[in-house]
Amino acid sequence: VSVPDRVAGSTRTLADGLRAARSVDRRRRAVTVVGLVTGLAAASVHWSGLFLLGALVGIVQRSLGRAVLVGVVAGVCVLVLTALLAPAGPRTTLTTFEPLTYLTLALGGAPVVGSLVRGVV
Amino acid sequence: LFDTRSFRPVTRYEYTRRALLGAVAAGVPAALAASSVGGVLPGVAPLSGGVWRESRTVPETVDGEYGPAEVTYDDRHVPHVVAEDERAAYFTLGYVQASDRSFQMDLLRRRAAGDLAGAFGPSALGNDRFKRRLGFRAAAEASAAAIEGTRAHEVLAAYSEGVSAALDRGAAGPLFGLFGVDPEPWTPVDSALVMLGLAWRLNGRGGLVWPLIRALRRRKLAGLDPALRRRLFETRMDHGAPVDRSSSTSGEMFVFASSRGDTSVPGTVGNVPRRGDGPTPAESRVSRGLVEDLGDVLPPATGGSNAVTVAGDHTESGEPILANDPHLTMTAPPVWYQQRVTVAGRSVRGAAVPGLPFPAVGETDAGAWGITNAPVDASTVYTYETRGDGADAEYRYHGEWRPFRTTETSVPVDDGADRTVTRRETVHGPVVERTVGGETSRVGLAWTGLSGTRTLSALYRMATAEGPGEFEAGLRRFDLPPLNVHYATADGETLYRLVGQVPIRRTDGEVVPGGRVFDGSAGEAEVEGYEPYGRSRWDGDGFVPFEALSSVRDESVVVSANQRPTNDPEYPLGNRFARLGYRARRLYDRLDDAVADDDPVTSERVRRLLLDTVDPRAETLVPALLDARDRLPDGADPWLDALADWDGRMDRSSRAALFFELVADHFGTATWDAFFDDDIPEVCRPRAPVELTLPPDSPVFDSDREAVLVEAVERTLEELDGEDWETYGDRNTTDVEHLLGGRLSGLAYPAYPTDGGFYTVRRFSGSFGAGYRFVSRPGGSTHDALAGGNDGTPGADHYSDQLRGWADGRYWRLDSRPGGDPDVVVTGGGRS
Repeated sequence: VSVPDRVAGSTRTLADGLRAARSVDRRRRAVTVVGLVTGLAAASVHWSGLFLLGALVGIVQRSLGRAVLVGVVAGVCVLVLTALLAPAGPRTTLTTFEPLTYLTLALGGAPVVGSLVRGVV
Repeated sequence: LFDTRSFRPVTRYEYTRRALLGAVAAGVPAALAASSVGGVLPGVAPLSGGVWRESRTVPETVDGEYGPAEVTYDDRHVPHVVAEDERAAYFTLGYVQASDRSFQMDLLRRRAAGDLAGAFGPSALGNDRFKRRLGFRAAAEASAAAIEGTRAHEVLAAYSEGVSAALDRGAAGPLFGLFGVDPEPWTPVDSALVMLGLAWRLNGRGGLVWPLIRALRRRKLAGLDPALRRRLFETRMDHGAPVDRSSSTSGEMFVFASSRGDTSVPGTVGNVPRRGDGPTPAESRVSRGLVEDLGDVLPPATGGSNAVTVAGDHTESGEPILANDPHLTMTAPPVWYQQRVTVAGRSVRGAAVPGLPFPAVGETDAGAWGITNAPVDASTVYTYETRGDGADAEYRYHGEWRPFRTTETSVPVDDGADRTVTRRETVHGPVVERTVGGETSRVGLAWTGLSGTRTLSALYRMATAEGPGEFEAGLRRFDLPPLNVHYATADGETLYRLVGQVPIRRTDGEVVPGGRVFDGSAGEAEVEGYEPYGRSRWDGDGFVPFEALSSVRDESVVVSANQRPTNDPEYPLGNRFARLGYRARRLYDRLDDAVADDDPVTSERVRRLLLDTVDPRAETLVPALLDARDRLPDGADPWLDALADWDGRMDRSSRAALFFELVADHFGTATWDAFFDDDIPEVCRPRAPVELTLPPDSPVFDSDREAVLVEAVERTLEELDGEDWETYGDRNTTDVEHLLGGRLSGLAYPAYPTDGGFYTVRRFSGSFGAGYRFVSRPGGSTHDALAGGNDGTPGADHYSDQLRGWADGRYWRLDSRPGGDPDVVVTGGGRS
């Protein structure tokens, strides 16, 4: 088996998997949930995880539009979780660290950016 | 490119669409990481960001090693620590100080040691290089070593453990999270660093910068008439209100300009040193670049602190009254931390600098004390003949070429490679150098603060003294910074003392005054027994003996307000005291009146006196303005009407005060704009308000002061035109940023209108003011007010709760003890 064939083969496997995940509802939901949990875990470690989160949940959706929608939901989840876990309460932290915390709010949009990956593959 | 489903080639449109989406999805995070925002993201990103994760509280129960203690916070969040064992008490104090101010404490020690870049990145390297070239950490280590073996050191060690315990258990709050900083444990050296940083602000900075400015002035203003130059820059003013008023008047002085501002009478000529007209060789080596580069560390003009003692004979209760309001640049959280520590029933309460266990202003049941800055020349500044650059550089000393002694340290930098900083030393101490335009300018600094000082031990002894004898014995170790210290006891005794080590400089065996640049190569101004980073012989011949420094005992009224301590010092003290003694004169006048009228002074009256807003400049400037009315523009009429009825008080509701403040400011600028050429740097100009002490026909005004007034009023009207100000309070508001600066606007204090100005007893100018006000009747009631809040935790209830009351001139009772259950309980131990 030549190298190009091997690459084509694994690409095909990945593509098959994606295709299957996208077309079978149950599988898609399961992969989305796993993506959400994995993505949130990644986002708790490093901010780039926010983009990864969007990509993970977006890539298995049936269309780019749905991917973006799921990205929005993931972003909202992130902000709600952040607020719930903030030791001093979300409002105190938001106001005391103005204007830097505008970035926190803006980064709620990061999963949406990540979900655009759906439009590439 | 292919379609993942069909593997059919995609259309050109599809190609572009996918490329665009891919570019956005990958490009946004990449751009964020690369941008300036990238450095902040680990701090504020949702979920992972440090500010969202770090707790703001420490556990309420903590295991100590020295025995049990309890803390109860009062309704201003002032901790009251109670313990039987002294070290248990100070362990606990460390714990609560850190739980309220940990970030500030860490910042203060980092700033002093030159460790800021490790937390805040390369932008802080300027500070770090400077402090490391001066060897602040080595100096602090020498200071910690200088008190080793004393009880103060043991107590300080217990305090340090308490701070570390809090840092370990959650006191590293959201601000640490924001910058991803994991604070190191606290040690006594860190407290010495905090002390050193404060001393630098009060004394060291000015001691280095002013001689350099004077040197530059003598170069730039060499053509100026020598008599006028002395008049503008060096002559002492006979304001009649040194701290020790029994001292005789001597030296070249001018009596204060009369109310019409038209006389200015030279007094006797004496001990102000007369030098040649041109700059000396040592002064010629000071480059403008060096001065302007250090210019950003220029100290505020005249200080602002006041301290007053009134003897019991003249008070209503028969107990003495001690009042003090140390002024510094105000920050959020405040420079001061209010605290109360009770050990075996003996209480010490007052305000300490976070990072130090002992209050600088405070009281015990035996007595109360307060401090003001005495800007004595504790530094000696040298320039040298030098040759070579970098590692090969040499300086000349007594005809011999010597290499600089070098010490290398490595500065950690957040998000960057470590940098190396080389400290260079001559026989006198470290060298500050700047290369501007290819020309390297080097200045040697011998400052008492760079040697081992015992101030922390002095503060401990002051806080535990049972009377004036013990208190004064403690003051003997108060090596730095030079301060005016006031003390009053419940038994009615009062004491004033100038403290601090003052170098005696000798050139060829003869004592010379400091405050200027000396020729280090020629062996000028040597100080015997001074040992940078080691133990200096403070008791030797190189420093003014304690007995020879000013002291006043049991006088009816003693006032220190940064004016000179005495008219006839045994040794030269310096030339940086508040020249006109405005605040001291006002305080002495008011209290003398009360004493003369046999009108007993009350604590309330002294509290009001600290809030006095009469501006003495009005005596000169208001009549001058009204006399010039015919020449002033019509637009000034309503303002001049207000001035005519004005009581001279810089109060927030006053329209006249607003106009006056602006005119006075513009009058100074207009005067010097016209008098000096453009090539005279700003720092070389005379310091306001000298222009108000000059006669109207002075050559400075080109013999027509009214013309300058017209210019000042025109500039004022123009400024008023662009602003929304109706009264003084519209402009005179609190402007207090977080220690980290303006970028974190959410952490700044609110802006409240307040009273007072640059030259009033209630000294205030936006970000500079009485960070703490304290009025004690030893044995009786005590009142205080903090400019801000005692809890430095962002967003906390007591973050700025005293600020509005402070701005309104309110005081609270400090001596009341809160009830209720303890907020923090320390258990365990009993090691002692």
